Amino acid sequence: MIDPLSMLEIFRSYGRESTYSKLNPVTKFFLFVVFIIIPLISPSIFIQIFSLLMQIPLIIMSHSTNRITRSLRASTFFIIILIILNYLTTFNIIFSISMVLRLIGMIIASAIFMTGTDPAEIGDLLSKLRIPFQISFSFVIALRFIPVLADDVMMIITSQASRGYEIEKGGFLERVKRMIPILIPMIIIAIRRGHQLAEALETKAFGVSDKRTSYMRYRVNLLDLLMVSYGLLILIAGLLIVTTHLEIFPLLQL
Amino acid sequence: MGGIIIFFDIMKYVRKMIEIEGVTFTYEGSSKPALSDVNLRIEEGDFLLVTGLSGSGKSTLLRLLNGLIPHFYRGKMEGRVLVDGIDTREASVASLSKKVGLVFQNPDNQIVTLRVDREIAFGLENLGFPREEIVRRIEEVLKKLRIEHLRYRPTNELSGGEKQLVAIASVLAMRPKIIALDEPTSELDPFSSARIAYILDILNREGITVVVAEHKLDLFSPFANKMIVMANGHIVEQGSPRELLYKKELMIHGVRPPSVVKLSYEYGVSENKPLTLGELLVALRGR
Ligand SMILES: Nc1ncnc2c1ncn2[C@@H]1O[C@H](COP(=O)(O)OP(=O)(O)OP(=O)(O)O)[C@@H](O)[C@H]1O
Ligand SMILES: [Mg+2]
Repeated sequence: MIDPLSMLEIFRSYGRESTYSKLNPVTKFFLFVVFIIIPLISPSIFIQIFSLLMQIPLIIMSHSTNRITRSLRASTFFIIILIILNYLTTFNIIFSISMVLRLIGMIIASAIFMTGTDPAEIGDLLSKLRIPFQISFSFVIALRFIPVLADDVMMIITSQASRGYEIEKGGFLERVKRMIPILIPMIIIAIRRGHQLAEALETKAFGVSDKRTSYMRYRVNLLDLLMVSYGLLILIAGLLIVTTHLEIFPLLQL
Repeated sequence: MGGIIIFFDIMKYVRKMIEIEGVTFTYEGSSKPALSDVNLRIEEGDFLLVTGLSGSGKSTLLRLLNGLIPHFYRGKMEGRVLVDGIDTREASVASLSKKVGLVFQNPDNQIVTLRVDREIAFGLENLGFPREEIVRRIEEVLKKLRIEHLRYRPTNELSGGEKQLVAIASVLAMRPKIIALDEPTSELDPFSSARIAYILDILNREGITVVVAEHKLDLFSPFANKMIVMANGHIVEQGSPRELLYKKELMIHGVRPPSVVKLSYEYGVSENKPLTLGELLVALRGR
């Protein structure tokens, strides 16, 4: 009944271009922050519904409607269980629903940001946020080498297997022990790669000048201005809802 | 007599790009020198082929050229290396990177960004070049290597041969006078290897000095004008590829001559010293 793969489909990146993906990374990050903050400013169910509804334009712009609905459908059972569990501890059904909606809203916001933003853009964003280049670059390097090291692991596993070595055998402790002949070569390969990488960075004048320039240029288009204004409006509207609705619907006051 | 004087006059104008003078280098923690009393002169426009068994010191020699030795690798160095008149001990690797570009064996470990154009931009960004200049150079090197179509491709998705071409492109973007490559084709298929050799020939004809450490002599020797053979940290043979590859002593140093050389001995045309199949055919026809 629970199919984790379809549930996680929401985070699967298709690397497809969309109106959203072409936005300035700063805009995308700002919208992401807005939709993380809004659900957190109040546990009120109004805020949660408001936040979800206001994300619809972003969902459409990022072509993720299908992915999100499929993912939510696969999670129905899980969501119901969450609501029930919540109810059993709080005895407040509206509050329970509200909490689960908050979770869903934040997941959707993260998914839109993560699937619609190129990892390299996140690196650029980090340096734009005044994070030192060495740190934002470590992030890029990590992304660059994850697939390389994953290939290494596969290669080691297959070459050990071809010598008749079985990893998946025995109980838990036995299996942990059986990982060692995979781990040791892995560490050696990773160290060697790291050394050669350092050598390559040295020849590419990495870190020699504090006047490092940037080749990437992100434009601020009309759509960026519109979307930033949209985000600001939502922040203001959210705050207004929090401060006003409580008097209108005293029953829902939480 | 007059001829000799004119000869020496001309020699003054042949620019020496690199002079390695009496270099002995021992890596830190190692007891045996990786290079012993190496003397070598590389002139502008040379295509130098470096060969020799594994562990003979080829990589160590190449690391001398852009100052990785003694700046990045610690150890004991005697003698000196002059690159375009500058002593490498007195210049940083970064400043030498504008003169000597170094390409390594494993393309995966020298690509540091996620997209081809960014990879080519990386060194220039580090050196603080203005954006317009970076864009101009990216377009220039992509065109030169005929890989314009790779411009926006993620580096993770490239084939080994494409990665190596991108690595060469990123080095060329710094417009070095010399490009040195350490076994650039050892992880590549025959087709990609041939492509690298062909590209190096084009670059060399455009005036770039090429130094390449290689085992694939079939592929590279026709393009080289100079060749050295290394063994145990010494340069044991030095000359033109045509001269060296027809020397019997080569086998002693573990260098196996290319198949054209073997064939020309078999057919008895070794005195013509052909290096390519074309030359072999001409020699056979003229017999
Ligand atoms: N980083 C290092 N630290 C210590 N010793 C080293 C280092 N790199 C190479 N050596 C040693 O220096 C000697 C020359 O090695 P070098 O890598 O230059 O040879 P090579 O001709 O490039 O070999 P290969 O064909 O295997 O690449 C070898 O004895 C080697 O063990
Ligand atoms: Mg080597």
